[in-house]
Amino acid sequence: MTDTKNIIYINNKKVEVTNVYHDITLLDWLRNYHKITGTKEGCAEGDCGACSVIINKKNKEDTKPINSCLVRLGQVIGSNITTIEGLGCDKNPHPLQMAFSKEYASQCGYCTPGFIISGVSLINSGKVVNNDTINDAISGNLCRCTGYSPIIKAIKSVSDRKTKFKKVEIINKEKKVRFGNITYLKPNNLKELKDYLEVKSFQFIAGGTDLNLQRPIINKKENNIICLSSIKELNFIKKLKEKMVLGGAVTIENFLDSVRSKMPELIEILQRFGSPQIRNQGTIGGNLCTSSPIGDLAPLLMVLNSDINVFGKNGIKKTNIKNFFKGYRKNILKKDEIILSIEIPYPNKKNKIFSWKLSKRYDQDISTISLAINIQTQKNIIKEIQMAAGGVAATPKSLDKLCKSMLEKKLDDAIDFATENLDKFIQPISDLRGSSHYRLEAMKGLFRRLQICLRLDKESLSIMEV
Amino acid sequence: MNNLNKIPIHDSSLRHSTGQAIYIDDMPEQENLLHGAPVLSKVACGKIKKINSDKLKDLPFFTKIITAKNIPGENEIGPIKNGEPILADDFFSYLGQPVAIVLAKTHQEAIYASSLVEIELELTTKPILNLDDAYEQKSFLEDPMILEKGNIKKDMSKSNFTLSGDFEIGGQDHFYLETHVAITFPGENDEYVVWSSTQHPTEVQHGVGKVLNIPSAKIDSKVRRLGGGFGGKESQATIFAAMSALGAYLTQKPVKIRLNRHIDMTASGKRHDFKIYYTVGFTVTGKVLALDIKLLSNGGNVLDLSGPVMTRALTHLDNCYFIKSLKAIGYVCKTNTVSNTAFRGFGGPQGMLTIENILYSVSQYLQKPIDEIRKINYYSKLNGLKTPYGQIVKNLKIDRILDEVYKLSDYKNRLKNINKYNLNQKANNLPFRKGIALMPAKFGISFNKPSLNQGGALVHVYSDGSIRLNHGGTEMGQGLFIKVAQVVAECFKVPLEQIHITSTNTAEVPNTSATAASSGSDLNGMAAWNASNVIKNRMIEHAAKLFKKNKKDIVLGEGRIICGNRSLSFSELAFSCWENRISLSSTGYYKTPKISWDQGKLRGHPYFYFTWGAAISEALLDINTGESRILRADIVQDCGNSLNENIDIGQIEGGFIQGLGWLTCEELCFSKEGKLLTTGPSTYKLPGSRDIPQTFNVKLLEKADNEEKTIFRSKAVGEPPLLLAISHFLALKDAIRASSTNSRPELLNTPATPSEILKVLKV
Ligand SMILES: Cc1cc2nc3c(=O)[nH]c(=O)nc-3n(C[C@H](O)[C@H](O)[C@H](O)COP(=O)(O)OP(=O)(O)OC[C@H]3O[C@@H](n4cnc5c(N)ncnc54)[C@H](O)[C@@H]3O)c2cc1C
Ligand code: FES
Ligand code: FES
Repeated sequence: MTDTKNIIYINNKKVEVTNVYHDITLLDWLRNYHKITGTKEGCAEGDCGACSVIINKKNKEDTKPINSCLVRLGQVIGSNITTIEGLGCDKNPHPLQMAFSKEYASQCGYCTPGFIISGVSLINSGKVVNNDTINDAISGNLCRCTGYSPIIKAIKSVSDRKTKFKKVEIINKEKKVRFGNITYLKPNNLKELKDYLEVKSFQFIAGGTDLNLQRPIINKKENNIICLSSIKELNFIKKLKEKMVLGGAVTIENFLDSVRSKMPELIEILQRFGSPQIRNQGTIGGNLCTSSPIGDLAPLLMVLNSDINVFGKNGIKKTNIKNFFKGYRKNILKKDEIILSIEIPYPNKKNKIFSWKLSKRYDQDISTISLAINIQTQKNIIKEIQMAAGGVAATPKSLDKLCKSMLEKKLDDAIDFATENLDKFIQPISDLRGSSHYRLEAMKGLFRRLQICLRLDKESLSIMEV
Repeated sequence: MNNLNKIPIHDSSLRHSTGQAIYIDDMPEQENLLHGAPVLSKVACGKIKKINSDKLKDLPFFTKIITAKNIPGENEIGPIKNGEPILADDFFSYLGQPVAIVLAKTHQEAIYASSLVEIELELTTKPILNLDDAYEQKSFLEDPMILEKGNIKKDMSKSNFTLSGDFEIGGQDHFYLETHVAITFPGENDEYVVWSSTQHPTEVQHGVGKVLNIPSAKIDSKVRRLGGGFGGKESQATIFAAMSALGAYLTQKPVKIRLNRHIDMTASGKRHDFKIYYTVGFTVTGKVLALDIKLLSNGGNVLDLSGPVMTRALTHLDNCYFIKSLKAIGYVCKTNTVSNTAFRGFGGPQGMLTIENILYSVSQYLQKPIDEIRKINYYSKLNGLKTPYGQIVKNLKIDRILDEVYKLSDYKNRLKNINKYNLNQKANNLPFRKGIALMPAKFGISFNKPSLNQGGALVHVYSDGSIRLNHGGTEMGQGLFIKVAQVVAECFKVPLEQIHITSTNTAEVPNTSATAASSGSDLNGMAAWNASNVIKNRMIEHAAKLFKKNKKDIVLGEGRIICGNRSLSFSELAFSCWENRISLSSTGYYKTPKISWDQGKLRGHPYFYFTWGAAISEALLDINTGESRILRADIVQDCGNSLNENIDIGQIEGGFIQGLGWLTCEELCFSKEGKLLTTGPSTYKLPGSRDIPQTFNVKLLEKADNEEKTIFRSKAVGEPPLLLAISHFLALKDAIRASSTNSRPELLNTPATPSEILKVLKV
């Protein structure tokens, strides 16, 4: 039973959260507790977008699509949720709902509400609406019937029809929310966090896009979930003279927005990170703390020589990201320590930064391998090089030894050396994303790609640009 | 066919868009409804010693476990052969097979509780997990099927060259966005109403009846719409519907079974993966004289529909080509994996990919373009028109289709440009290569088994003039309901809005066939036309009486009944019919004419007609990384006189992209133990919006009325476009061939993932 009055707004209507006895998702609550069934479940793992809803957390016109299957109810208390029903109905449809109907953009219709949520979010974002931005906006939505063309057409056809979202007074006073044996603790600042760290058993959550994938919904034991997203000291972006500092709870989407001017080399990899829905939830801190060998941020942050500020009971300590990962999904953090912020030095103007990801599908896919490179050449001689790779070992791996042996060599010789001797430096495994043979061969391919990019002075070389 | 000069949109499209369209899981739930979750086996084969549910007793909420022992009737839902249980009883035969069901008050509780049930087992034999092992151990689900024609020995020895090879064709998960779901409501006197996401309500009715030991007449099987089917809900929906019915029977409460994605992908069948071994004999010019071929298909643990799938593969092996002598043997292999099932194309795509792969290898061997090889092998008066199974190919449209698709795609110029592009990339040591390829296609329409080719409809006209339409077909997104409604509106000459479309229901139209084999509008459209005509004739007869004129003086138009300068509205006439005690309700029935089939000999005239199509695709490849994409596709498809051009174009675009997925990114991975590892979209990648061709031209063949008397001379469209995606696979091979002479495009298996591509690329 919930202890206090917990409010969520659904389509601007205030709804009290009651009689929830398990640690359910927002999707489950909408569909099964309120029979608001326009929002569908297609996968329950954040990959199909059928469950997309628009969330507004503050009293601003700050509306964003998220996957309702991937957030727990406890994370969204106090928010305003717009579902497909909130946009219109058959008697009074939203322009995009009309457009989908007219353009034959639905066949079985199961994916349709999710696409419309993504489409409305794009149109409202103020971005130009073209094929490219539409593809980005719907990269987290799957349709098995239409082949997408009519969906893209429908969104384009109403690209100027912005939606006015009503502002509702959002009160979010409850710092403690309880569902069954799970208590959500929502500190507003580090001081409050410190107090909560005294509770017996707890887990941190930021966006939850990783943590919420495999977790019990029914819990036999008491547990506390400490939400990091509300901590103000974890939610800032500072662009200093020589570096950028980002709070640990900054979302990937905000990270993406902030690099556009200062580090455009990062855009491509961040743009390919999950989908808008995932990027709006997932955080930088969360990505590093999962310490997955195929996390997309680590290799890049490694070659940029970033530092991580860790906050614990005894204060703040700084560590270089290369020393952060300790084993498969393991890192140096103690149970009660968090990533407070990340410091990313701006790359040397003379250097070139590349960050490549290979996967079965271009969008919304986890890397099979990835490679980040920070390199400086003078007259074809490598003067500086840092490389880090994902998907080639139990942790993200900085290829320091290989880089050392490439230094001060002619580019072509260095790359020949790297491709010929690669198996001495990495020994990737075979899994469902690719064989070890593929990982090695494709890594060599990326070295050759580097060679071409430097030769032709190109920023990237992707089949998507042809 | 355009009703009132406007091409109608999908009847539910606005409700899809507003979230108001009701799918099974959206239906209101009664207070006492229970949810069920299956318990799955954790090893690939073995004997069940005990199902231990002790841990359920400690739970603070209600649960109930159901096993095969609780089944009142037969534990049996095989659509063709017996031996296909809904719950494993003594033995289980694949990893993930349902062994028990746990009921609880919520979905979450059921799932959680099902994870606490332990299966105590005894390992028996070693599981068979791949096609070669199954073949070696003669592990088959059916006797081998042999399709033979001509004299293979003689023509093989007459050939200038022979070439042997083998390749693999991967399976494919349906990934309908709506997973399997069913609810059963118990009623009085052993009545049950089953709502399920099925393409085959009649089979659900029969399956439930068998399992519960209750006659069909007491079971209503219904569905308003499916959130996608693609064949995956043809036979297999019955398994889950029967589970919910069993739960409802045992508890006398409504029971819902909704699979989560992981369980759906683990415990329901997919497109058959195939392995092909061939020897082909051909002349110097590339004319195929003899083809000796062995097809192994993965049927999985039980037969399901694997027999007919193999039959369709065998009867589509010829595609558009006359093959003088053929010996094709199809082995439906029995393995310890989930039983594979129908999937859009139903073996056809695998058969057609096979012959295209072989022709590709011939072309490579002779160092000639594949189109040249095709040209001398097409069905024609000169080459011959008799298929290996004896049906004569009539109304050949290859030439017309090819002309149009070459024009549409600007093929010649692009071929030149692509060659230039590749030379330029090579010369500058750059990594991209392009390829371009054609895929011509002929596809046979009708279920191979003649008895399935029947359809029924029930039409009521009410005294206010509104018309209620019901038929045996199911709506899964393909637009069947609107097409059939168009037919009825056209018959009565009333506005389409006057037709009310209703849920498929075995209580209204009995003994239906699955909505499958692309035949939905052929069968149900014709049945609805027949039903409507019966009523229309009665109404006209009555109108003639009213106007005191001859029947032939009465015409219908724009919702009115006209006789000279007098007229009545449709509703006035309907009311008058009622007043005069004239029945305004009729069933309609249709069976496909002209078809025959001898399954034992694989001979006959199984297909009422053929549809024709062709696509030209351009592929781009990065030889450094194996990444690839499709740049452009041009398609010309023969839909006869299309019932709804926009719906048909939607089927073509969607089918083509689904085919791309099958051939490129959709990869089913199994562990050594036989566990499917790719059980969700995070690991099983279907095409996303950026994976479609940027230039995508789709054209229906114009002035192409079906020569056979189908409904408004239209043609089926559901399946054929899928296999046009083979054009992209061939274009990829082309690009690989352009990468270097050491590359081995002929060895490329599907799906052509980056990993697979790098395997055959030698740079
Ligand atoms: C559909 C989908 C697509 C994805 N695509 C990508 C992708 O393209 N690339 C990629 O790299 N990843 C991807 N991910 C993985 C995931 O989204 C990211 O790793 C994300 O950044 C995790 O952030 P989060 O805030 O959601 O983490 P959470 O799930 O909230 O947390 C993950 C773990 O880190 C801990 N944690 C979180 N924040 C902190 C902190 N500040 N200090 C200490 N511990 C903390 C949590 O306790 C938890 O153990 C994807 C995931 C999904 C579901
Ligand atoms: S249900 Fe698929 S993303 Fe949420
Ligand atoms: S319309 Fe069926 S999944 Fe998109």
